[in-house]
Formats: sequence, C-alpha cells, structure tokens
Amino acid sequence: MQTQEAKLGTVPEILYINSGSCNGCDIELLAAFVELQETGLKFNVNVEARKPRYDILVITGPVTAQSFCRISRMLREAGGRLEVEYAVLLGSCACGGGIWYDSYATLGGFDSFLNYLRRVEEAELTIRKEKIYITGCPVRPRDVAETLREILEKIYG
Amino acid sequence: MIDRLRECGLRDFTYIDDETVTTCVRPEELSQILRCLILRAGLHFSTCVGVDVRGLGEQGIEIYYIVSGKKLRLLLRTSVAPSEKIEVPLDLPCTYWCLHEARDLVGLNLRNEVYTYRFVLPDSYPRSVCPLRKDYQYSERPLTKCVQEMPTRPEKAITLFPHIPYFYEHEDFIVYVDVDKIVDFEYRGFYNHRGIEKVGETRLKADQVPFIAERICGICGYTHSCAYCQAVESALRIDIPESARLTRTLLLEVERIESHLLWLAILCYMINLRDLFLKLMRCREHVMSMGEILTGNRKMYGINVIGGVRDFITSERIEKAARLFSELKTQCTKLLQELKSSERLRAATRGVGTLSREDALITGAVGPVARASGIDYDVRKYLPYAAYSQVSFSIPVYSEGDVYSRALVRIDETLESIDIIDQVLGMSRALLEKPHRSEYEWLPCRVGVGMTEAPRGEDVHFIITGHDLRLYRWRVRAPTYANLPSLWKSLIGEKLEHANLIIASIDPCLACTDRLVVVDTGLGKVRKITRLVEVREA
Repeated sequence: MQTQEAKLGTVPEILYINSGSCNGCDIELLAAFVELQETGLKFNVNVEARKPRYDILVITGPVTAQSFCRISRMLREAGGRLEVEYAVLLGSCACGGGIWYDSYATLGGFDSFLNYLRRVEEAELTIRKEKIYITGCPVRPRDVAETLREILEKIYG
Repeated sequence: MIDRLRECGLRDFTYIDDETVTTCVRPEELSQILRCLILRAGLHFSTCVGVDVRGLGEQGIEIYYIVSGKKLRLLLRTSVAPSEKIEVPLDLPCTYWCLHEARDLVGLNLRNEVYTYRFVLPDSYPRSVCPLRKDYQYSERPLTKCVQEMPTRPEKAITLFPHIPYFYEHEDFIVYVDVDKIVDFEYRGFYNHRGIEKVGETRLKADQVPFIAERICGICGYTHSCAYCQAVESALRIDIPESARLTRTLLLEVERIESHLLWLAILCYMINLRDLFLKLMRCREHVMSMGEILTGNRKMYGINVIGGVRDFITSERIEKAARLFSELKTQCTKLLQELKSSERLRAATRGVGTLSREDALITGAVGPVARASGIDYDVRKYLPYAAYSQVSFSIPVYSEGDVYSRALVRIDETLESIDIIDQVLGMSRALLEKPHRSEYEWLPCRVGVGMTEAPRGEDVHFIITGHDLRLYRWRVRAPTYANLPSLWKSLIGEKLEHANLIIASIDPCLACTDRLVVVDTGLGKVRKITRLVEVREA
C-alpha cells in the first residue's frame, strides 16, 4: 500500500454526502482519515458531484426531506446520472434510517432514498459493485479505516 | 433583579424552581417588554417556544419567551388566538428565528415576516403542514417534487457552489459581494431537521428521551442530554444526588475539551498549520479514549437518566481515566500554548470578522462568540447546574470580537476545563458515592427549562410534561441556532476571502456540507470557489 500512488498514478475519488447526520459519524470519518493518513493512504474527498463517476460514495445520516432536495439538485446539475463503484453507508442512520426511520422530516435510510430518487426526481444513482453497511452509533473510526483499506485493495489489487 | 423586571412592566410572578419565574403578558405589549428586558435591563434572550395548547383544553397557541440573567430565568407566557398575529420586533434579530420556526412548526401567524419562504421545512411542504400541531401524524410525509427556492434574488445568482468541507454541517450560505467586499448575506439551513421534537413527543416516553437527546449532535450530544434531564428535573422538582452532579460535570468537561480541540484543529487546517492540525487531532483521540474508559463509549455516552446517572463508573475506571488524563494534560497544554503563541494564527485571524458588543447583544450571540465580544455570559456561572458551584474556574472574556479573540477564548476555556477535570477527579471518592439517581413521580402539565453551557454556548431545553410519562412539548435550542444570526453583523463589510474563516469561527455545529453562492452585485457576475480536502502525508 505504500506504493499506492506509484502503482495507480491516481488518487481514489471519494464522494462524501452528509444527508442529515448529527455529526457523530462525520467526525469519526475524519478520525479515520487521520488514521489512514498515518499509513500513507491518500484520498480525494469531494462533497459535490462534478463528474459522472466516483470510486467510493460515503454517506452519513438519515436522508432528511431538506437534504433530499439538495442531493437531487446536485445530481441534476451533474447530469442526472451518477455512478459509483462502492457505496459505504456509515452509521445506523444511513443504513436503515436509525431512530428517525419513520419521522415526517426524513425519508428513512439510504435505500429508501434511492427509491424516492427514482420515483420523485427521475435521477439515477447507480452502485456498480458493492454496498457496504457499517452500523454503529456512531461508527468506530477503526471500522471505517479498515473498510476503506479493503475497498482500495479490491479496486487496485 | 425582580425590581428590574417590574420596571419593564411585568407583574405577578410565579416560581417554577428557585431560579425560574414565569409571568403572563398580552401579545400586543410583548415587543415593548422584550426591548426593555434586553436593551435596558441587560438580560439575555434565550429563545421562544410555540406550543399548540389545544391538547391542554385551551384554544390557539401559546408562546413562551425565555429570557435569562444572573441567577434568574424568566418565562414570559402569551396566549395567541388562532386568528391573531404576532409582531416580529425588527430591531431584535435574536427573535427572528424562533418566531419563524413557530410559524412553520405550530402555525403561528406573524406580522412583518422577515423570511417569506418556509424556514425550517422544505419549500415543497405546503403552508398548511405544521408538524408540531397535535393533530399532525408524525410519520406523515408530504414530500412532492422539490422546488428550487434559493437564492431569493435568483436574477443575480447563477451558479451554486460546491460544499466546502471543513467538517461543518450542510447549509447554504449565499454571499453577495461587490468586487471582493461582502455586501449582503443569506442563509438557508435546517437541512438536518429530523423531526426530533415530534419523535420525543409522540413515539418515545420521557425516560427514553435522554437517549435521543444525545443524538441531536455528534460532537456535543452529552450536553443536550444533560439539558433535557435538567429540564425534567426542574419541572418535577427532582434533586439529583451529589455523585450524579459530579459525573455530569466530569463528562461535560471531557466533551468540551474534545469539541474545542476539534474546532482548533480545523482552524489550524484552514490557516495552513497542517502539522498542528494532525497533532491536535491525535491529542483529541486521547480525550475520546477517556470518554470511552469512563462510560464505555467514545461518543454518545448514554449515561444520563432523569434524576441522575446510571451507576456504573467504577473506581478502576476512574483511576485508569486519571492516569490517561495526567499524560494528556501535559501534551494538550503544550500544544495549546504553541498555538496561542503562533504568529500565523495572529496574522490570519486578527481583526477579521469583528462583532461589536452591541451587535452580539441584539443578535443573541452565546458562548465563545459572545465572550469574545466582551459579554461574560456563561451558564455555568450565571445559573450554575451540575456541580459547577463546587469547582473553581474562570471565564475568559476578550473584548475585540474578532476571530482571533474567539480562538483565544476557546484555547483558554480548554485550559480551564483541564483544571476542572483535575478538581473533579480529585473528588473521586464523592464520585463513587451511592445512590446515583433519585426516584421521582411523574406529574402532568408541568413546565421546565434546562440550560447548560455547551462547548458552543448556551443550550436550552424546554419541556411541558404530559400524561402517562410522556412529554406534551419538547423544544431544543442548540447554541449554533443563537450564533448564526450574528453572522449578518460580522460578515457584511468583510472581504470575500475571509468568509469561510468567519463562518467557521462561530463553530457552526451542523455537519459537513456547505454551499456558497457568491454574487457580485457590482458587475452582476458570479464567481466560484472550489476546494477539496485532501488527506495527505504531513
């Protein structure tokens, strides 16, 4: 892994969306990045889709009605279609909506968000390989770091 | 203090607890009374709460205004008939947000509205949807196709900005500029609105709410669960045991250090002190471990219950935490001194985003933002809770009101917190005393307010108890809610390049995705700022 950049010539692109998280998982993600940085792994973290394809999508939090509109606006601006290789759902809220699963202000977790997206906004977000659920409230940085490391091994061998 | 309230025309006070008084006022005299309380009597406006009182056998809506001062918390209660309109006092920006929130969530009618769009809810939700009214089902989702609602002057705004990932929450900041000077500012937020108050009022019982209250925020969650428990304890007049007070104080301060270190780390990242950023983040990891040793969780301690704490901090855990803390203390103090004496910090932040004392007062700023502008308001001193009356600490206050002062306030506060933890760990015998919680009897229709000094400032929880161990109304006012309106005063007139730093300086506790629209009013052009966070080797 030390020679990651030499081997690839590129840095993996992460699209990171906070869809209404309380910050807990976000800060643990930051802690995971700090941990990964110590092992020499590099990522580009994007918070706005500006390309049609990303390597990894990281999503935290239940999808609130307000952020649903922002995310779908972002997708429309990016051309209405977005492809990611892997989707990492951080925390119980992103996995299934958590305690907010049936609240008036959320749409539940990420999976129900994908359904709404197709039905209401006619935008498409395709996950080409795997969807990885990391539960916990909040997630542990070690789990996140391990997952990201494994994904990188899968992508780049 | 009561005399000063009488001078403002208030009469007939009823005591809720030793520090909280309540009185009724007529809607038409409200604005005048608030002006007198804030501008003349020098009280701090905390928030207002709209309550749909139809479930209590009354008509219309009641609004509670919470105003606080030294050793006094005042609740002004107003009944509003269904067709009656409440005036928004335009000279008091601190009242704008809570009144508009009451409009959106309980259907209050407002005169001179400042925000004509839906404030808390998505614009696609019809105006008739008021989720906190008692006849609204909490799982009802009126979501239709999203509508484009911002910015409000779309003829000038062409492009939306990428979020700016300095690890704050997602919100839209729209900045109107003339060449490179900021001339106007617009804010759209509440993207994190998850309906927590409704969940607490309907689905959960009151003793389950501390769990969800902690999940309001992933950085300073514990302070929310404390504030909630205090609100219930004030409403039901529960006296909590000594050991519970100390445990709460200990964990609140651990959380404050953790939160301030995070903010300082992000500040270092923004002003290109990458090395210090990593060092501070590593130091913060030790603080997180301390929380884990004490409670079993890095975050979301889950230890608070109404009437005290769950009883499981053992003497081994306390000893282990104390050992870790003594290592951490030296490391942390050294880092903070290094940051404090850093030339780079001074050069990058001095004189940026100045907020005057008067502006801080009328916008209702709290916490380090207010203390950097010369207001010494700190709930730990003004209305002591937990065990803060038993420990000695000082409140750092600076008068310049710029980003530099805000950083210094936070550095000094972290050092004070270290000192408080030392004192509490020194009382470890008292920490272990039993019992850890008091028994209580649930009584309906009681009003209670709980306030804590969160890392970002005053945190307010307001409750009205219902029947059957349920809450009739639960209102949360997080500190950032009070600090964001001060941005109108501190941003306008500043240079565009400083916008990020000023927004970050109030430590907006949202989550991570900011969008900025910059509209050039002089040339009608729109510029873009694009940033990426790259995690690279130091």
